[in-house]
Amino acid sequence: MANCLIRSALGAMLGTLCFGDVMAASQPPHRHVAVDLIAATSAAVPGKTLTLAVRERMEPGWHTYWANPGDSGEPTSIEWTLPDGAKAGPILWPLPHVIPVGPLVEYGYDDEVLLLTEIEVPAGATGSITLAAKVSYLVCKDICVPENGHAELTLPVAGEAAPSDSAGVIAKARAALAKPLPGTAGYAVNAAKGALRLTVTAEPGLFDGVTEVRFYPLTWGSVSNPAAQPKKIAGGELILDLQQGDTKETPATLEGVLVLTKGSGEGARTGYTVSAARGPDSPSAGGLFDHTDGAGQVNSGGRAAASGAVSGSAGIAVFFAFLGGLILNLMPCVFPVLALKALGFAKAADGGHRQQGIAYLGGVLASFAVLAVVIAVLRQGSAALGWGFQFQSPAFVLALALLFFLMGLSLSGAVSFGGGLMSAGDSLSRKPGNTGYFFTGVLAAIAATPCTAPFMGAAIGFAMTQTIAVLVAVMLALGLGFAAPVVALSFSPAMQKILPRPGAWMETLKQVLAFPLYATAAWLVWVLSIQTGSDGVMAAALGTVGVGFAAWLAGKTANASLPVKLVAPALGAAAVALGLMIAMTAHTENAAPGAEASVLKEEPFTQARLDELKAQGRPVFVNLTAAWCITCKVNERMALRSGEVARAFQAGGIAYLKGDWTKANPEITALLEHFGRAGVPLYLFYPGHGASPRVLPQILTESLVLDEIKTQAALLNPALNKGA
Amino acid sequence: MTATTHAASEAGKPAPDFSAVDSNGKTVKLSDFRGKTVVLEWTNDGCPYVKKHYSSGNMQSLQWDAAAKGVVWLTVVSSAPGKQGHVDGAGANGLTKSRGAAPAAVLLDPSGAIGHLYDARTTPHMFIVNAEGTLVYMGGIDDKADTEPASVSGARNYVRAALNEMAAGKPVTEAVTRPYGCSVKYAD
Repeated sequence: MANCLIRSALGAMLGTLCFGDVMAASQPPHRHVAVDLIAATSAAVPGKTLTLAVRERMEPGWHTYWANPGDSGEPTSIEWTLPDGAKAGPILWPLPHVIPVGPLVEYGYDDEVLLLTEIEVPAGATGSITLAAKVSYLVCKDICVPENGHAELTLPVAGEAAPSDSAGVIAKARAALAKPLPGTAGYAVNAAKGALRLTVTAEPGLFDGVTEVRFYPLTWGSVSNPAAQPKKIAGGELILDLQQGDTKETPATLEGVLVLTKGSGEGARTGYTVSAARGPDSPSAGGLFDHTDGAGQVNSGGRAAASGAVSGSAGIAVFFAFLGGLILNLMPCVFPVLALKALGFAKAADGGHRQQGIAYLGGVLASFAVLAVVIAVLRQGSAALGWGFQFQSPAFVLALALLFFLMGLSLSGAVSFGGGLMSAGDSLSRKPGNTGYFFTGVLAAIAATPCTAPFMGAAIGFAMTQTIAVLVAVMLALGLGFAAPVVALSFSPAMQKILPRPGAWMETLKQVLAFPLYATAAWLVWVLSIQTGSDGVMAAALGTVGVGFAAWLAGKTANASLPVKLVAPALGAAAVALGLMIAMTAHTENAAPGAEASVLKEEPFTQARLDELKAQGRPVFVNLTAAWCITCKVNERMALRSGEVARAFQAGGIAYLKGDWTKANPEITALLEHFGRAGVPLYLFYPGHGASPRVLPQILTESLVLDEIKTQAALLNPALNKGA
Repeated sequence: MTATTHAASEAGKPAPDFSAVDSNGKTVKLSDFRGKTVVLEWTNDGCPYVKKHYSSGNMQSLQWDAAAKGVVWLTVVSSAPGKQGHVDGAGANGLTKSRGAAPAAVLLDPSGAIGHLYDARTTPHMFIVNAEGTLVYMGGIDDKADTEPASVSGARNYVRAALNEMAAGKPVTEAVTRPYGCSVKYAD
């Protein structure tokens, strides 16, 4: 036996003798790839170039490799047997795909791939020529098998050649090859961080609408394959942070293919060959990693692509902000205020509507502008804030609850205020003048924020990552859209005619409209209960009783002398102050985060837990929600509560992580930001096995969730067993 | 095991210590071999690249040479249960016997913990730890990334070169090379 082990030029032969049993297994009878050879033309023209394609058709789930196979694997090689004088060029590699294999990433192809090769037909060719290819490749699923395929093609030699039957597919494959980059690329090194920063400056529009970016290094060593590639696109510049590979080599030029994905489906991916010159070292290289959700891992570029700003131009964002503003009018948290406004117009169906409309617009815009400035300032102060953050303050929620309660009382007729002494909420119904409308606008804007988050997530997320000017523009567009219906109502006599005539029904309507306000107050108290637990509810109850008592006292003392008259508001203010004090000091341990019962087995979201599950390759459904987010609650009830969804989750081994943003949570804020969102809800589905996360729509349905799980499982199925 | 949060093994840095159970049920700790050169070899007997080096006798020859030089050779199996290459102790010993291999020990790592610790990606994937416990080599066994046993004879064997340099008291010139082969069949 020892003889066999001596290193020897005959090693291979000896090995065959000594370990024949092992060898016998290395050539399985069954092939996983069908190989054939096709030509673009039906004849070969002497002195011209003929395009051939070696076509590999893989069994489902099996894959072959790109020129750089990534962490393991081996690229296909072709050994040509050609007539004398003919020459074969190199393989023109199609754009590779990321193939995640556990913690590794490989680059290759599944299903079918055309490896184009250009053949120089000799000038003296006559009759017919035979082109033969011995194709050697490694094909892997959960295991790897080296296979050889032989294919040959005989073509007549002719002065002219017509396109063959395969001309179409070959032309398509050629069109999909990586093109020269219409721009320049360079890279910087940050050795301390083990990071590289690829900077690509390209012709205008190249990066418009790009959702995913992946850099495929041409050779092994310099760039880590599994690491995420967080990106940032601004104007015509793309910044892509890469992690250094094993060798930490920093060549004078970093070669690779940059694949940009726009949308989905065929033709969504375009590739550019990149030759990035090494520039000066930069401490900022790798900075984008700080904003990814904690992991260098994973994978198909999806997550990497999702980091950074939501791409899109500022103009589009402003347009959608306007549209979003319009939609806000239909939201339940705006509806009560809007209803009051319609009531106001109905009440005073005379002139002056335009002024009121403009005043309202002014109020809305002022609020949104103030909010924009506040966000900008706070953001500058690097506070981790998101949209709707004011609802994370118990005192704010309680104050709003009491305000809505008081407004409800007013509408119910339980109390009537005099002199506009009370809050802006009073002026809402009692002061139909321009000032009143201004504050109506202000109030409507404040009440709108929890609805804004779900509907405007992307636009605001975009705005948050933009310059202050864009942020303000988006916010103002939002306000403009928000105020538009009321302004239109006030301007257009025709629209006003739709409004019913004033009459006795108004009092009834007013009283009916009190109930949405009470409901809003009740909902706010519920929000408070989640934030602060029983103490907060007590504070709200006491505050409500105090406000009710003060309102009653105000009615009783309406005709009394001024000092006596002031007792009621003073008492009311004291009750509110007391309530706020309790709410602010309420112990958060009393909070009841699990108030929402669910059929789904849920775990609280933490980044660490998400990373852990992802590392295990488990599919994960992440639901980022908040008690004050109505859309979130509706989605949870409509889509996530059903037994069917619970069964699908269980069957798929899907972990359900629920992140509650009712109270400020920097980890959730970071994840939202990572996906370009400024608020909840955000639904993420990590299909597992390192596949990139899917961002689900903000309005969920049961079938949508089920379909998504099914689709991803089907997509992953081949990947499940990917090997090599 | 993420690249950003988890420093992967790096040449020139201390080799991560581990303790593992070998095919005979014995606990083996890397730091126990301080003072000796240690070779780590990731393997999967079903992988065609591994087969190439065992069927050609290349791997065994390296192991015998290593043993003669007092180098500790640890073969690591990180295939998860149910995956290609997963073996129990008896299976591992059977393979050692039938292949005429000469590792100091075969470490069973079905959880992939050691594999992840070293960021072992392929079979084979080779690591060399020097007497001071520093990782001095990581990468492929040689420069012929294919499955043809015949290519072994013309290959530049990085592991042999590194061991020779170390024996001569010289630094390892090629400390990091591309590992090639099948992916390590970690648990999903």
